[in-house]
Amino acid sequence: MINKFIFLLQESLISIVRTKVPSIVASLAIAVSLLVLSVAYCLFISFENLTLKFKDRYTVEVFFLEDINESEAINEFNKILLFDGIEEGVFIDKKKAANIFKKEFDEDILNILGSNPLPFSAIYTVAESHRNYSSISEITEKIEFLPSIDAAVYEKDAIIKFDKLIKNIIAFIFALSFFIVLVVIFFVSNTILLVIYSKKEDIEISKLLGASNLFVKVPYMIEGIIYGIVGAIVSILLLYLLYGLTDYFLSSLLKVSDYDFVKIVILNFSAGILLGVLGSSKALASYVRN
Amino acid sequence: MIKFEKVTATYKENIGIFDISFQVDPGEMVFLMGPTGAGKSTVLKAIYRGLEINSGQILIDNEEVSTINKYKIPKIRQKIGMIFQDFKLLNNRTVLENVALPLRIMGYPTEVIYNKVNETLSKVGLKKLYKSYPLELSGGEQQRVCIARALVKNPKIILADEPTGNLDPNVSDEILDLLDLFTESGSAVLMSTHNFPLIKPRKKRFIELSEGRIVD
Repeated sequence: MINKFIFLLQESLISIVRTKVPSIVASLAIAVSLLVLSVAYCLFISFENLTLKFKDRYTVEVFFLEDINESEAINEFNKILLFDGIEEGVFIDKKKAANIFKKEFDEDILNILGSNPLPFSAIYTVAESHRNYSSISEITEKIEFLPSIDAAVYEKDAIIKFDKLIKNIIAFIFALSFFIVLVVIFFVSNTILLVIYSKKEDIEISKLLGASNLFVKVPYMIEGIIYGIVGAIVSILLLYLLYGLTDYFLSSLLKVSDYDFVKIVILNFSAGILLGVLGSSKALASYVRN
Repeated sequence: MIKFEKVTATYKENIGIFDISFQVDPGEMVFLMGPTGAGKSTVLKAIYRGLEINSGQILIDNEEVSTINKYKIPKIRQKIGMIFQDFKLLNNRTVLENVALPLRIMGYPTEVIYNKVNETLSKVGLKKLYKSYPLELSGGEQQRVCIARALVKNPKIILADEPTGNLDPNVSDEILDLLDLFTESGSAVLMSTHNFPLIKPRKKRFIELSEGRIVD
């Protein structure tokens, strides 16, 4: 078994050396696609970090009924704090509410009206996992359903728009990645198919001498894996260069420390090998079909 | 060693071999005779399962091969040494690599392969040419490489499909001598040819075919 594998590995390497140009082109195609996918992944991470900062403002403002006293209001406030999706909350009594009014309108409500009609209220921060339109609207409805609540509000329009933007950007990144993956599989498969056709006679002879289908297929699978590994190495080298340039020129916009480079290296190798294997599998399937 | 019992294998209706029965014993050399299109190559193809068998039984070394699964065909082919009229050598590989190929396929270790290849190349008189490429050799030498490739795995059965078809009479005789030599070690040789004057002096059994049927 080991002898066979060593022989097939040698065969793959000999084949790559004999078909230098197609092999280099296939490896470069994988390298370019991995580079684009890695950059897309880094942009996705940066974008997620940026959105997390914006999403700190995903809050629900709650107003209690006018006729309940402070102790009842605090009771309700604490109940809401235990709701699923609520991270933390700030209770605003009448005095704090008057201060906020004064800050915002530069007027003392006691001087205008002679008394403080502002209700008890609270501001709740939504947990990170629930910072999206559907979760926040669900939480708000649940709060409004409580008998002592007058109103619960959040920045509905802004959140809907922001959620939509995020979804569109993520969808674009995924669609682009999917398209690139398809193109590369097609490209690698055609390159390997050319190599297979150039060795059609050798394959026939090997089969006449007792080679199994697996014996014939394995060198091309190994070839695909080697293209993937070489592609990943080239992609990582280019990415490392880009990493340095980004850190130097765009450090104010993108923090390269946000990226886990080891994870990116592992992903590059895994995706490269997968692309190579898929490409060679497609080529072998086409060859068998024809 | 090789046993055909009422074997029919067709490419199309009326093209192929029909109701063929014969036997080749260990150490025997048998010729399949007949004009082009008589079905000689089809008989050989039926043995190495290069085509489907419509009916009948083929026994190779007591193993029924006419109904075996497709994935078992490589194992059958590994037991048989095959020699072709057009040599079927890998032109971008050296003589040594060509002869070693069946052993590579069977998974032998490299040292064993080199020993066996050296020994076989000596037997066919090509030891000095082990580094040459097939296209650097004469037709006779290429056929010797093909024979060495067939013999290197010590097969019990050797199938030769018109091995002398592209060679001049002297070289053809040498090739037959070589094949005859290997029957002494107990291998059965089944060789197709349309060259009756070549095999006549050898006084070996021959099976005559015409239009896919054995001529009585």
